[in-house]
Amino acid sequence: MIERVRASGIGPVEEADIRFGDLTVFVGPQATGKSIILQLLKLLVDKPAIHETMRDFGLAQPGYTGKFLDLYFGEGMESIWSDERSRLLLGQERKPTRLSAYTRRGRATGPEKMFYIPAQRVMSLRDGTTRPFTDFRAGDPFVLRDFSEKIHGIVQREIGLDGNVFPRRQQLTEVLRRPLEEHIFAGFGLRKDTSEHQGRLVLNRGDGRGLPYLVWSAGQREFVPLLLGLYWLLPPSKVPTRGSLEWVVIEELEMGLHPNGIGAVLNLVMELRSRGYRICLSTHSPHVLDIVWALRFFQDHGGTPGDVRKLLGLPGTPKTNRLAACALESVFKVYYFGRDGAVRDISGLDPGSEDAAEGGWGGLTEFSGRVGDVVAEVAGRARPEGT
Amino acid sequence: MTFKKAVQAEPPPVNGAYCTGIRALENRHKGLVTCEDPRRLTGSIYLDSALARHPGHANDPRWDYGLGYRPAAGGREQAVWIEVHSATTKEVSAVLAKLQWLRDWLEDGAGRLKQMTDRADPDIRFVWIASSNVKIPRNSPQARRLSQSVIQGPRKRLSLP
Repeated sequence: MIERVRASGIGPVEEADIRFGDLTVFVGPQATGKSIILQLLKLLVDKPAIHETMRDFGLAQPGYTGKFLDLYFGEGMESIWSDERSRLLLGQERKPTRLSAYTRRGRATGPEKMFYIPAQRVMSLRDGTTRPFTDFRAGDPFVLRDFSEKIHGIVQREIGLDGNVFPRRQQLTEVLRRPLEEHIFAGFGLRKDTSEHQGRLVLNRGDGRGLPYLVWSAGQREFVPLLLGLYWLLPPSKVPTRGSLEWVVIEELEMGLHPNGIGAVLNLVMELRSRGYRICLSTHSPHVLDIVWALRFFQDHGGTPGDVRKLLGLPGTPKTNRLAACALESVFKVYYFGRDGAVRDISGLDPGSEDAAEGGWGGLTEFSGRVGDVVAEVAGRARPEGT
Repeated sequence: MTFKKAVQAEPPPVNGAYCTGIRALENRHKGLVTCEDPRRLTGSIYLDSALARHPGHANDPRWDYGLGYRPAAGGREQAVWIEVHSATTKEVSAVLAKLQWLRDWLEDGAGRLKQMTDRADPDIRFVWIASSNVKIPRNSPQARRLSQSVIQGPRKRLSLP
């Protein structure tokens, strides 16, 4: 299990020392390296499975690092690593790790340990039809192709003809499903429609007619691949996790969703956590950090599982009590990827911190604070402030 | 122990600051505190004013008012503390500093009043009443700083049952 990654000179990341918690959150502006580090983590954790997948789909695996990076991270990404500038240390090791040890196939084999739900997941559906690995170009990011292949498998193999996708028997308990019904699907169901000789996903109205992909809301288009990914991770059997998976990465889980929808998805994240998965998120939503901040506060100030359920809007059941108790015991870490290339630990999330990155939660709440300050200035001009 | 006796047991000048009802409040602030049965408001002190010339506290960020309150549900008298202050993001630090001063003052020498404060419901123990409209966005870091303190508010007024 990788506990710590120290990285320098990798893409826009100049210096990072990341210690992973049970739930680790990356925040920061666009193009500061969050996704690069997450994909790199996937490579470090899952090297044998990645190379095996590439081989199974007939991808010619290049012999040198740069070309592999183009194939794995996506076209044009060769430049994120240079042997002169880039450095990577794992755990407490003092000797840098050679990236080439991961970019060459080698003899090692092993099961996949990390499930990666990429930010571009909306691309895994075309007109409501899932896309297999081979439907993408060789220069498309591996994590997208791999994710798309998996949800293609779920829809094609695990859901029968004209099967219900959501709600689905034995998949997600009612307390977790209901907020999704209310806040994301707005009472619609989701099913696989094969009437046009092609299995496609449609929203299901009460009258039985399907609403095709192009009339879905942007949030629904973003959420459906995420839901299918969660189905992959939450098998309906008594086994808590799927296969040998230990890690879950979800990039920008909030995409296209109203805060109530984000809350519903965060409940599922806590469900993943209670099943034993180790989770990494990247986000631009203060809502995610609100939850982490509150849970850390509960940990330090005697919060109870009842408080956690109240926070998440969950009723009291044996399952939600377990979920809440697990959340209280989890280790939360938050890292801010700055525009200057530095990655800083802001896990304290102290709103009063003198460190602007921590106090403003990596820029996610800074704006509201500034709005308040400017309003206060205008109010102060109109009337003296204070008592 | 009543609020009146607790105040009068304090060293000067606080011991002479007791007023009946909410008479200690400035006239412009009296409408900000209401009670279904005003007889349950057993007294008040204008702490800020009382200690304004005290050499040990003159330059401190002093809290405004203390109130004695006998709860509707019965039980012993409680002490409730209110600060009337403009509710803007820029004033959050100032009010938190006042709260810290008040808690230190209660802890260090006002043991009887502290006991009465501890008896009060957390929802009314330390209340910030906005002197005008509230201008603290709920998503701002300043709002979160308040959430993790024991201050309630800022509110438009304090309405006690």
